Amino acid sequence: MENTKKQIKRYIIFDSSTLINMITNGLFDIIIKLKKIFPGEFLITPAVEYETVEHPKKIQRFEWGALRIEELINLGILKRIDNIIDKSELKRQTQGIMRIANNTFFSANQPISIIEAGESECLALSLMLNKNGIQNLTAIDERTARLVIENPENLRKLFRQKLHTDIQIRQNLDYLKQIRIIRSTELAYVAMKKGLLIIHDKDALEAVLYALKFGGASITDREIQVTKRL
Amino acid sequence: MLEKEHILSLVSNALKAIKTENIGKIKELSNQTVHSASIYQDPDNIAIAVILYALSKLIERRERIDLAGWNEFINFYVKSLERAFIALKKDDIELYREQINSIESKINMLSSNLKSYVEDVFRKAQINKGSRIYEHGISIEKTAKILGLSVWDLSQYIGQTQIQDLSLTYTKDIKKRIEDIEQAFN
Repeated sequence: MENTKKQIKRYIIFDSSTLINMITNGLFDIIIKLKKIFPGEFLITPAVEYETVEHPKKIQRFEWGALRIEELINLGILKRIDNIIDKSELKRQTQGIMRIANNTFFSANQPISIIEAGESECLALSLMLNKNGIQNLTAIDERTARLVIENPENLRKLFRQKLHTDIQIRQNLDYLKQIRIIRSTELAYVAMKKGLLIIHDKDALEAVLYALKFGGASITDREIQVTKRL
Repeated sequence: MLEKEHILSLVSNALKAIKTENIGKIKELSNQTVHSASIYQDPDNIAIAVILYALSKLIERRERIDLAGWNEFINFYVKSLERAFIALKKDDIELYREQINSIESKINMLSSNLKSYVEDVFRKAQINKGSRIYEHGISIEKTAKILGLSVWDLSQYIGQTQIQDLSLTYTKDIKKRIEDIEQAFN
């Protein structure tokens, strides 16, 4: 039975927002431990590797974080997509997602450009894996990409509220709804439930969830309180 | 340049506020650009927002900082803004940009202590503007690109704000999200 489970292909795709948050919160070991119990692979895309490793390695204040993520790649904890998906096709799909998402929300006749290559690449990869019937989750801590996928209408309302102007949605983004999003906070929850967090204080789960929230995970206080009770 | 008139009015009002050292007004003017910066993402607009915010911080700290070359630098900063304003009024956008860029070039020529202090003020001004643009609904990666920052710069700052707590950011039952991840790990 265990062997059968191991043979099922499944992936977690990591966006830079989740990786950066977990690394800056000292969860390097937790990522390794989670990978050990995960019956599949953790993936990193080329644009996310550039943002989390190649570029920050040249900036002193981020170099240590970048080196730790690079180590996760060297250890095989984070796998590059080379042998998993056709890179040129991923590039094509990524450009398609960026073109659509960045021409969806309009203020008067001006499209609002909202997402970039790293985020789009994670979404494109998830869609490609879905198309091949391969189970996957996408870990994204930042808010906008998640709103684009799960509730673009809320993003429209947010724009309207913040920009004090009428905002129109001119594209149908329903095809993105098949992408299943998690955040670092859900990964921390699993780590806690599986006994991977070595802090045994009764408030440890709440503490790690807030640490990730203050590190940039888009999660509300209410969600943290519900998660704590699960 | 997409919003010449807006930038003209901004710099004109900022110069008046600088004369009276009205720091709150300079900050307010800098924030006025955030709406249009989120929509148009015009580099000229974003540059002036950062320049004004950084200047407000530098003037605010004037009394507390005892670094050689401080006053000369602030005077150069304000003079550059005045020259940029005149250039823009004459529709000379190239000269306007030269004057704005001269502030950055000047920073590179400062003594090492003052240089690192001013660079830090500028980086924080960029992060401040970035967090405001992110707050308006632009993704973290896009915002970082607009400001010329790293995603690492913004991640930590954004987490310290109340941006994540807006009810509009709640998109899916947390129990369902936990169910998804638990299934994946089984």
